Amino acid sequence: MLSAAVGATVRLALSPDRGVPHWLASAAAVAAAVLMMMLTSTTHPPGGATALLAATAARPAPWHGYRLVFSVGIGSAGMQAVALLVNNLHR
Amino acid sequence: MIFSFLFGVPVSTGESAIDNTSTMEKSSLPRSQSVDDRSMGLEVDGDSMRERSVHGASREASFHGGNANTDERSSRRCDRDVHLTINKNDSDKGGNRSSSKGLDDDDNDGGEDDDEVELGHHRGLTVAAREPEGPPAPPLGASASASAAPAPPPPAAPRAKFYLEEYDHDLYGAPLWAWPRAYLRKMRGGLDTPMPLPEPSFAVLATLGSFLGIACVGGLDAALGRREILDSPVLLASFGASAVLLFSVPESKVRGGSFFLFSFVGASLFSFAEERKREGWVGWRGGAAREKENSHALACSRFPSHIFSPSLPTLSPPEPLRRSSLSRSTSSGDRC
Repeated sequence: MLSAAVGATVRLALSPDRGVPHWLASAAAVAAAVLMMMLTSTTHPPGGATALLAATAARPAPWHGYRLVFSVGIGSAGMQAVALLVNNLHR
Repeated sequence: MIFSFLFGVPVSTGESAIDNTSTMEKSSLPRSQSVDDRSMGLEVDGDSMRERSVHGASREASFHGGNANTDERSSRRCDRDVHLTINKNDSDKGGNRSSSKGLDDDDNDGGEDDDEVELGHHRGLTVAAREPEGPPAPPLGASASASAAPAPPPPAAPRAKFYLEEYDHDLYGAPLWAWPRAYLRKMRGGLDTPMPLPEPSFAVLATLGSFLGIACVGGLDAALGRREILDSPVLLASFGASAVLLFSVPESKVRGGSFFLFSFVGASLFSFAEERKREGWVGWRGGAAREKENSHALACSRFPSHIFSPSLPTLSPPEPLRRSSLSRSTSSGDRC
């Protein structure tokens, strides 16, 4: 969710409508996501992918691109619930 | 291995276990001096084996044998002090070889050739009868797999309490009635340490590295992928995940570059196959439509996608139908 927020923010800030090249936006999004994840000690590799997805979206998602955060939150919460049930079964 | 654990006699693996004509001869030799703290190198057939001494029971294992592989295997597995002689057709070699050691007495190994077999068995049995009397040796190394299998019995404390604190995070030792609550208690977490905060220099380095890496890939994407040189995008979303793995996880097992390269290449090859199979249902339409023209014949020959296509019945059709559908699809050219 954090990375999605970061990616959406970067997508808003460095949108290609303003003439920012594509690669610069994606690199800035991933770098910012990495930095945020490291500072909050929530390092998770798909977070970088999420930020990259959000930053390189050709057309921003609704809610100014922040609906991706909602989607990511719901999906990861569901998967985390299943993982909580399953991974505590052993030892 | 179970036999060796139960009977105290090292049952060797490999061919000697299969061959029943006693190519393996167990000669229980008098115990060499058991030393706890000393570990000495034995020179057996050019291979030096470390002699191990179990702490509590002060046992040691030494082997003299002709087959180096079997020796290594059995020396890893055996923690008893039975001298194991694996030899084919002559048992004198063991005697000659092991006479170089200073520790064992010399009358160990030289022995009667003929009745060493049954003598060895006999002595092995006596050792087996003698072994369980001693305190059980703590399992060491690879032999722990068999001996650690039975769970330690739960403590015989009176079970007045309905719930035992010691079973909080251990479901295996817990009795059955303690499982649901232990399961719920485990969900509270606290079993793992959180990820440590990075040093500032490492954080800056990781940020810079991921920026440069994604910028490099994005530059490649802009230079090649969007032009006619390489007609496919280069910058993929999962490269963001790879950037996190490569730059910001300091010591990880999946950090290596070979993981990065080979997993992506292999996964993309596999997904190419999958895309061939179920094209038209899922996939990257632009690239697929372009690659279909190039690799049409190849894909049709390698991947019989008409089996998987949803328009055909699920059960495999009879042969003429299959052939006709294949020919139709190849002739029309839109579905492969």
